[in-house]
Amino acid sequence: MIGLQPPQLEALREALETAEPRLSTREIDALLLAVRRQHEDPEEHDRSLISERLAWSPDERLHALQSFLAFVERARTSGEP
Amino acid sequence: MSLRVEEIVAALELHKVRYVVIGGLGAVLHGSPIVTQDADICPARDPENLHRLAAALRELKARLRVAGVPEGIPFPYEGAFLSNVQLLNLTTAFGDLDLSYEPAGTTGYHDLERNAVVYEIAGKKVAVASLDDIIRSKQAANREKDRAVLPTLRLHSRMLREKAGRRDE
Repeated sequence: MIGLQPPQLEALREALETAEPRLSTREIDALLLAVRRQHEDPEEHDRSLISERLAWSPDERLHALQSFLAFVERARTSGEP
Repeated sequence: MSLRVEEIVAALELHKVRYVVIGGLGAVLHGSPIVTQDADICPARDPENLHRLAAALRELKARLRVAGVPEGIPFPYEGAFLSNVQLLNLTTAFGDLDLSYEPAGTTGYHDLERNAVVYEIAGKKVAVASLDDIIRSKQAANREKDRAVLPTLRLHSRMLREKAGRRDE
């Protein structure tokens, strides 16, 4: 598991506090929580992907798959190194 | 949002971001039959490149991907923010994009760039981590989902070597 150490979290908070346009404390806290979860919870990544796809209709899932396969076909035929 | 790799590559190229494609997408570009749902890249971590990456992410309308928040969470498109994380899972206008500066088992961009294979995607030259480096990283990560795909990737690697051997004969 990858985790952010306290000095990194401190530096991250500082970067967020000085970001332009200014962020509210609530926004900074939400961002820090999200970044920490991405670093510390190995399932967070897949959970967010699955959560998104569960909201799709079967047609939308099929379209996404077809679109990706079409990209792969284009990349393979034009992109042989 | 389904994945549109060409548009993501175009934005990275426009802003001259140095990166290597890694993970499942890299394996797919080498010919792996395992479908992936997002694009994984390992960007160079120097400040100038992070500045360019921030501009590309702004163009892609990238947001932090969070379960239960389909639109994601906005974050500052600034090198200072990007330099203080090790990875980011993002949702963009063209699908999901994951950044990892030091993928497991590697030391990052320079390590992967050394053996990278250049593919052409939508007319742009794109560096893709070698299949053996992708396997090395998945071995080191050793998550259940990595272990599940490793037998296929190893077979794929062996077949690529055999094909290259036949070509050399």
